Amino acid sequence: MMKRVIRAMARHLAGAARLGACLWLPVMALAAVPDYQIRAVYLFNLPNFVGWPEAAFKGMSSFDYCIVHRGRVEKTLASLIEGEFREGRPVRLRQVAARPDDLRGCRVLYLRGIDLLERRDYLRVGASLPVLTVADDADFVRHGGMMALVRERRRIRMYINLARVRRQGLKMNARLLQLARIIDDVDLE
Amino acid sequence: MGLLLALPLAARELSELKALSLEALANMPVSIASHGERALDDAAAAVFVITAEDIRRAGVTHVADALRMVPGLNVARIDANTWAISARGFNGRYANKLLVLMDGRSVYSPLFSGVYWDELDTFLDDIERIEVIRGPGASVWGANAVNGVINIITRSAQDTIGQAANLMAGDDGRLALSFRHGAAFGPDADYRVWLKASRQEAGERLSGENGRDDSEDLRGGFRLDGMLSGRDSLTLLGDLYRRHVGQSSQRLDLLHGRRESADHYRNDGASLLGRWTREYSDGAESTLQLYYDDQRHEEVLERHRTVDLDFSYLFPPRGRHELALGGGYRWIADQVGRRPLFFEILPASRRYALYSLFAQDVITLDERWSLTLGVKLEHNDFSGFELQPSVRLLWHPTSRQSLWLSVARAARTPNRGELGVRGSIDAFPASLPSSSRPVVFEGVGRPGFRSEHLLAFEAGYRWRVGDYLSLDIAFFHNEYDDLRSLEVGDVDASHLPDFLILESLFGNRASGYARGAELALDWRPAAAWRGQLAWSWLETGSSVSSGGNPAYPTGNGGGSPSTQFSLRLDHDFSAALSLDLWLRYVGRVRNPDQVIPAYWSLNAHLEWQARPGLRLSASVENLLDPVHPEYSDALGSVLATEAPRAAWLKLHWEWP
Repeated sequence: MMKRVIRAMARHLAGAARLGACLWLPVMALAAVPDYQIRAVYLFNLPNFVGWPEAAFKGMSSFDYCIVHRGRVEKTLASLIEGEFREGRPVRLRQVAARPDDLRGCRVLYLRGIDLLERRDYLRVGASLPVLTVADDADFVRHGGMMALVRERRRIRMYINLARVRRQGLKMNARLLQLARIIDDVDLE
Repeated sequence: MGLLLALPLAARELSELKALSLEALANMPVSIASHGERALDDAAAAVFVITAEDIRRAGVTHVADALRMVPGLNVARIDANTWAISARGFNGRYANKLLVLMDGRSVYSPLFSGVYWDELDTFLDDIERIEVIRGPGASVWGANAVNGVINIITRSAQDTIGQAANLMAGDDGRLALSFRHGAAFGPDADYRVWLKASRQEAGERLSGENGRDDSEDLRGGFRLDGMLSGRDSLTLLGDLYRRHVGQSSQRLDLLHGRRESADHYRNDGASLLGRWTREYSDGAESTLQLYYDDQRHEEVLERHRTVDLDFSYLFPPRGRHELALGGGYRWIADQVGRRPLFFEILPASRRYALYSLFAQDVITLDERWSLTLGVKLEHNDFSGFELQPSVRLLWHPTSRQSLWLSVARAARTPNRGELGVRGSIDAFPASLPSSSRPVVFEGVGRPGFRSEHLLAFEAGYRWRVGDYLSLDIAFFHNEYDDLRSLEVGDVDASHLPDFLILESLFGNRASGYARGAELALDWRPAAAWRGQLAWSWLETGSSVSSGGNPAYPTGNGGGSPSTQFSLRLDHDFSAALSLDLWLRYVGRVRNPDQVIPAYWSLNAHLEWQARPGLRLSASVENLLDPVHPEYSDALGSVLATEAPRAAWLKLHWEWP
């Protein structure tokens, strides 16, 4: 909804930068962006702060984001990754089913747009893979997920179940963890 | 309410977001956006969006002027306070096939199903965008979304923090002052209040005489947006206005036929709207909206009050389906006065209601195809139930191209006027050689008048070529049935020997068609250049079924041009200085009373960002012509004034 405002702001920002003025910066900070765009940009930036076990992705020809639904977050992510490379591999968006052969090779699995039962299927299959599981609600990180992009009133905040992230062989950068809320399991399987 | 559109970010702007640091992202406020939003590329309809930037850069000073950049829309000024605006034909002062919403509130008058465009004003810099959908939108928006829907959307209060003031003065006697103040309201809410005062001196009539269409306008409003909790958001909006407008019109004088008179009217109104949106953790969203609206128009001695309640629920996506359900209830109470031998609406006061249910399912067939099925069932007290379904198919052959097809049915329900009106529509004066007595033609509405129906077939294609060009083409064929006709009724000789009344009765005996094509091109060859082209072609026709008394079709009295063209060129000379040139062509319009010649118009708008927060702009309108007419009020009463060449200066100041 606020995209055009951002666009106008971005234009001002570019102009101001050219003039060497920084007066527009506070204005930029005020401009609000729809939640789905913020979530998509989070997803897009995650690989900069997450380490995957090298061995698991050896021989992969692409860097895969896996999704289960094509909603606005996913579509925004699709435009963000267009023409992008990670670890020298082209970034790809892939729609997957809850099957081991589908989930193999996924770096990030974004679970939005499905019900809780289906989501559990994905988590069960993904539990043995080094895949970063992400959803939008806080409950997710307490019940088997690794990370959630939770709306806290007027911000989107990361919730991370660090124990689970580590258990599945992933590493996270301290800068990311500093901004996140660290959550523990409720039901230890 | 309905399903709003979200604008897709161009690649350049997306990269701005991409470049944000994680810390900036964590601090980025989330806008209160509806989940019902879909990306523009995903709309299987002819959509055009006017952005805040377009409004500012083109030097638009009135909402109606902004609409001139939309392909397929005909915008014509009759006098400074009266407009004829329609999409895809059927234009006229009383154009009745367009639905106009201001922040979710319907602004069309239930008296004639049209819009008092001059009353539609706000703090212009706070308009975020205007979404224009040509073609029927009835399956979501309901009756009267026949030929198009215009959604005027103002910014959320969280985006208008700080003060802003505008001062504008023009050589045609325009003067406008406006002020807005926005601030936080507690930790989770923001508000703004605004005030605007403006005046306009009278213009010249086609004959060169004083048009007496001067006006004074005072209005103000507020908006509050807040989060009640992590999942509930609330928007409150209100506005209040009073206008004094002058008008030259023709009145019937039974001894001399038409006689000119100059009058001043006072129109005022107030509205209050509340909207509560809740997001559920499974992705569902519900919206509840309630508004109250009170308007008074002195010209027709009318007052109507509206209470409207709308509810919609968007289900979480399930498999291939995204289902939305909703319903609404609207209650209207009106009082209408009477001007003897000019017009009279019967009964003088009435209360009536309208309720509706809608369902829409967006079905993702596979990665490239999606199908949208929608239906709205609406009941009104005048013509009963109306079923308005639509089927829309969208195909993305590549991620940057989309092709869509749609078939939809829409109804234009009878308005208060059509159920019982007596209005003098024409008269031959006694001086006419063939007649020794004046003959007055009276249009007479009657109960039993039914809805007008449209079956629309549309197709469109969109293509984003890199980051520098986007193309949008739409084709349509509209079949209209049950259109309003006028048939010869009784002869009333009771006033003889003074005059004779010939009745003309409203009926549904006309049918018609409209077909056409519309093109929009947006070209950004370099960061400092932008070109926007709109072109449209339209062909319409109507006929009346035979049998019964002789009859003739009556659209709304006026015609629409068959060809229109608009080209805007924007250039930034530097970060602070930019120029917008806007060239338009509007084809000839044949109105029953007058043929309006085709015209070209050129506007130039120069904008200088003197320093952060201070903007100066200068504009010249109608550079090519000293004066030209844009339209006439074919039904006879308002005497048109010409659109003059005019220059104005504006100062815009923002401070924290």
